[in-house]
Amino acid sequence: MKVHIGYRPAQSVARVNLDTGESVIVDHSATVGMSPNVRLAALEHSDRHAHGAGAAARGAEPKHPPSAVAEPIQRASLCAQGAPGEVLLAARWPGDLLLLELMPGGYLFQSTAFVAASPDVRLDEQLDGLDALFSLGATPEAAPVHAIKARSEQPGQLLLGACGAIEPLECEGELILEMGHVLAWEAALEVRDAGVDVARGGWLARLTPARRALRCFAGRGRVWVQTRDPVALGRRLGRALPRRHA
Amino acid sequence: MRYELLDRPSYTVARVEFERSGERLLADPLAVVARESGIHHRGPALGAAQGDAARPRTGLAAALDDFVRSRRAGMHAAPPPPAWASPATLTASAPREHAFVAPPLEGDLAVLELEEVGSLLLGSHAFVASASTVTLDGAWTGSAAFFTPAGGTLLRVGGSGPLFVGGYGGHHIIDLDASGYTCEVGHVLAFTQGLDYDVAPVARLGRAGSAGDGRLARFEGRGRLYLSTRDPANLRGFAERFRRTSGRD
Repeated sequence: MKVHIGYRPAQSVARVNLDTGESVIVDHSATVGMSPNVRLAALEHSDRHAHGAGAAARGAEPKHPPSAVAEPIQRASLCAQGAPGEVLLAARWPGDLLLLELMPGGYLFQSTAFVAASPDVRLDEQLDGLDALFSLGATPEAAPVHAIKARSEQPGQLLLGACGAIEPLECEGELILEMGHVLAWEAALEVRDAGVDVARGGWLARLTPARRALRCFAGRGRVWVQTRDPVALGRRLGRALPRRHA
Repeated sequence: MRYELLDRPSYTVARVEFERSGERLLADPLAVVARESGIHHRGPALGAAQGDAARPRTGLAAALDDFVRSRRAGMHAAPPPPAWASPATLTASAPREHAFVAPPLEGDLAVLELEEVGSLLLGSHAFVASASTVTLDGAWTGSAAFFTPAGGTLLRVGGSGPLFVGGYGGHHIIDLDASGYTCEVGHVLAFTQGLDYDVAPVARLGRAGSAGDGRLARFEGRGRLYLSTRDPANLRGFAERFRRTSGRD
């Protein structure tokens, strides 16, 4: 598949050209349009959905509202049938797109960022330790986003959507990063807990301090950060909405 | 009427210059950014004086409001008139007066000269402004079906003059030939009249607030399709997960 990204950086759209019979795995909400010979070949539901629902069924009391549990990801396989085809893809919010060529070690990325991948790319969401990466020390279900690991034995591509612009950072030693702004990183990097940053401003901020998960990235590799935090955006918008009735 | 598009493509605003006294611009009340003091403004007043129910709604605010409203038990307030049906009217008192209009959401703004593009079908959410010589019809059979159940109207646009079209994100134009095109309903801004279209639900897995509520529009024929690169429903669906629950912080 060939990917061309246009309208960069704020309104990026990826045009994915498929050869006859070729497929692409996409996030359902990322689809803008497609040529008429591109068909939905398969639909896959992330097991994260069952994970969150199972926690609720067990009676676990999440620290965040139930609405803020990890978002279920719905992946669709789109296939060009009978002729070459194209698919238009975009992130859900204004921002840039990142195209990564899969390398042996693979990548990890924030779950809200997934847009598309080559069919051979394996996406793992249930690896030990991934749940805790974006959490604030509470139950894993409390984290509104989670990490996904992408790897492939074959050459493949991974397309991610950022909230805002994308800045690549070279890690040569250690980097402390706020996880809401972390879009993706090379799997070779070690990630350690670096605590929780509690931002306290005026008297109002003291009542509802913003808590942010900090992680230390160690080793040699690249980290891509997004210049806006989608979870912070979601919380701002959520506060502006009327409360739901329990 | 002359115009110039500024700050493209992410935060586009149109600077409109009137050429003669009495010339009129019809605009979504929330799209009017500024005007010279000589320009007479007539339209629905905004704000608390008329209450929220009287406030014309558009863009993400309308999407959020509709979504919450539809889920509030026991709330049956009559919906306010849509912005296109109750626009603000800006009337010039002298030549060379200026007004500025912009879509409520961040993104691009396009000006379609109807003499050049011909008659259009326009999503009501994409209406920003138009010359008074442009006609908007939302009462034709099938006007509401295109965007159902997400809400919105497909307007028949005719007449002459400039039509200012805005959405969420950038604008992507697809010139259709015989092969056709398929797209998510939530990304459709407008398309030229004469295109055949068919809207059908697509298999989804119960994802609330998804783009176009899971509906795909298939277009065939020759014409032009205007898409927005972002769908407010996607952002709405994400924000909904962060709504607070009564009794919790």
